[in-house]
Amino acid sequence: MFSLKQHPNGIIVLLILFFISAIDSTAQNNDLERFDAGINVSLNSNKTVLHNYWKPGNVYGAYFKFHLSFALVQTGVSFVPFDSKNTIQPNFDGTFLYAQLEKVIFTIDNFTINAGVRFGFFRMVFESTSLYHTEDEMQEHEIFAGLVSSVNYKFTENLGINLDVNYSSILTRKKINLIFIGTGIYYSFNTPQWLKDFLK
Amino acid sequence: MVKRFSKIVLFVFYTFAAISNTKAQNEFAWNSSAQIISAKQIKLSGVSRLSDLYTLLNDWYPSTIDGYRWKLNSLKSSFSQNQDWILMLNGQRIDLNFFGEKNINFLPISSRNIDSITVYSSPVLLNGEISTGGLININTVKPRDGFSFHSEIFAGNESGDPGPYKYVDEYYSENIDIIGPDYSFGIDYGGNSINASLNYKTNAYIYPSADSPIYYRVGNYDFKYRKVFSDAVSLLINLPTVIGKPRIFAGYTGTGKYNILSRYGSDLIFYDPLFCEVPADNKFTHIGISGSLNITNRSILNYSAKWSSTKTKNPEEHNNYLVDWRMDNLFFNTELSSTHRNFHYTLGAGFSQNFAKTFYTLKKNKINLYKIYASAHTSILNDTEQSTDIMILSNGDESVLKSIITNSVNLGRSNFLEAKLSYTEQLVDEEYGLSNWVSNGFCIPCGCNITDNSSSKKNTNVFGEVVWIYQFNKLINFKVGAFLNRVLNKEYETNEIFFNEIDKTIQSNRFSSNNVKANNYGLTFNAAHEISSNISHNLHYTYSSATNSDSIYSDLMSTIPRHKVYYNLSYFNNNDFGFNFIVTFLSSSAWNNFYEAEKESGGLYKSKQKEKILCDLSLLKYFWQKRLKVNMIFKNLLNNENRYSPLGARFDFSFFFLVEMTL
Repeated sequence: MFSLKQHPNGIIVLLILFFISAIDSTAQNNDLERFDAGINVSLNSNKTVLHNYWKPGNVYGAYFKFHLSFALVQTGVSFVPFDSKNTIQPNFDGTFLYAQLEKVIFTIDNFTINAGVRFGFFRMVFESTSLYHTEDEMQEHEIFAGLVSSVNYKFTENLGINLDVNYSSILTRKKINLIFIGTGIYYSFNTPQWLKDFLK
Repeated sequence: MVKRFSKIVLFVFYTFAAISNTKAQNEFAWNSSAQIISAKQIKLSGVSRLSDLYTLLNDWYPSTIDGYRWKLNSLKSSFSQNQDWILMLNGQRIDLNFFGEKNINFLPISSRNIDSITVYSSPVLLNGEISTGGLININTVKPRDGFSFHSEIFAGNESGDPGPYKYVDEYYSENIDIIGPDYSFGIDYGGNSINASLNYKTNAYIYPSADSPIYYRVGNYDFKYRKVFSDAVSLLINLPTVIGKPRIFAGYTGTGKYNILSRYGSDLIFYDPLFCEVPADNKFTHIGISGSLNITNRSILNYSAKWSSTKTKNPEEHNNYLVDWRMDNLFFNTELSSTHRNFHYTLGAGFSQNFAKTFYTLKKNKINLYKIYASAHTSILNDTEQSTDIMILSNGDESVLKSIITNSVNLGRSNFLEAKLSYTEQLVDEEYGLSNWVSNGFCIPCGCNITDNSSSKKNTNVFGEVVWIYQFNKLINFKVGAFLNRVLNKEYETNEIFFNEIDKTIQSNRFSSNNVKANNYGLTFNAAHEISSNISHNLHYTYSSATNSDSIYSDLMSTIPRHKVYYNLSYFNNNDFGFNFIVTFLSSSAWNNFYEAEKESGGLYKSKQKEKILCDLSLLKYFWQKRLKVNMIFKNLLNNENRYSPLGARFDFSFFFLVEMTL
């Protein structure tokens, strides 16, 4: 049975299928007419080996989401601190830098349910220890891939809130699989012409 | 010599006599062994380092120890132990070899400069060169009108770093680190009378010392040797309105203390005599000119001349490894090409000199090679085309004959048949092999054992191939082929491997022997389909195996997968978005001389590499009216174990980004 835990790269395979499904969609005139800017906060909700040594704090994120005819494209950054549970391992700050593709899979009234895939880099900056204390040694980068899903509600034409859950697999030698549940608020803008010209 | 010359003259006379009654010829596929990789495919694939091009080659097998220096074997030719295939840039020969290594990343151009690549996996005559190991010719792009500026950044990350677990003893592992960043930038000028491109590029590379076979060999080197920075500058000038239409290419690439802008980073190279990595500074310099003169409205005189130099030297504090080697190459070639209604012929002559320099006197340090050649392309019968190439090459003491005959037949109903037969003799002096230079006086470090049993000064290669091409319709075509390759009197080298339990490294005794019976045969299949103007896909299969050969050759061939399946799907919406998806299946390969070392090392050095499926995906998006191009490249999506050699690193799932700006 295919297991995301064992084969987190399956997320990337889903990405391929996602793109193939998008082939039939040609660029529409209303592509990039609007974009959302949003912020969110999340909590980690699962337990892994990592949690024997560190406790993830709240996740604070910000993003831009662009409306295309075949998908919603989001780029964002999320910050999460990890507090050590003992004196051997240092605290560290984690930052997710990502690109995300999602599709609206269900719409009713002002509610939409979206699902998609996310990938990017997870950056770790550790506190100095006697073992690792130079700038290079205190930093790590790793690729991560994830699945996302959200329920969105629009109060007005431009303002909305969402509840989201995302699963992120950080592809370190011993994989770090984290589930976050959160909420956020976003505002939709008309994309200025200069930005439309840049993105096309 | 006289007898052979007479036979050649008679043969050439017959050929020209036979073409006196030629008829009009139909246009159809010629030289089906040529694969052309377009600029569009290169851009969609996210090629940044030149070695990335190897993933696009159908009938070739690339392999590497460190992920930066790649070896390439044409699956249709005999095992290329000394990287005998020829690299050209706009038809100019490029000599990058350090003995059996040819690092294409040392060519001082970036992927941005490439317009297309023509790849020949079987023998071909091109610009005065015949290679039995194949030939790759890179064609550079013509700058657009006026001035333009381009820059590029490339970086990536291989999965498998320890992350926070480097602080947890139970899950500790070495840091694999990031790949790059590589930078390049340049200024182009396009005009009617001059096209010029001035370029700079740098590659940053960390030797994969985290992987366990390599870790034991390089772990003791200072980090500055494991972190490599190479710089390269190049100038390409094309003067189409000047007499001779000269095309000039000048370039320099270097690592080590003579870097142009980068920090010091000496290369680590895998040095065969020691069978381990040693620090070495590498330099490559090339200056060449090629062009053509219109003699009449039917005849053109082509010319090409170049001087190049490759140098590899230990840094001062590691000079006990005795790597201090410089090879200068001088090359000149001219040919007269004449095109008539029904035939085309070429007569040419060339000279090349390899001049080896080191800090001690060699027994022989200069090799001069002289060649004359002729080529005729014609149709004797309707719906057929024939091509005949003949070359005589001499080092002043011995001469060899090289010949290729190719026939194409239009069988009707969109069916074509191509047959190629080549008989090529090769002087040992034409090769870059280490053993040859050891016999010329090149010193290897004390304690290394190289036993040279070779005595032959030349070898013979016979190659035959038949390809059937079926053009199903305008959008779909199929090719099925079979080939046989036979080598006589070639020298091959093998290593007797010993595992050192103390430091977990490998030592070897190296043996060379000639009169090796070496035959390989194979099958190829290709199906290409243009689904629409935006989407195309291609399926290619190659089977290649040794047969009726001595064990030394069979063992070498077993290190190359017998089966290679390559599938490529490309999409581009002709506007701003596209992707390229590649799936490659490689069957298992085996290093029989590592069998005992695998047992003694507890599996640290694996004698067998399992079959694997490699999936690569590249996404491309243009921004800012195509001034900005961004590729996101995923390699080894399924994270299958991907190792090319028992000595080499493992290449896990990796993510790269490539950003290119043109103004």
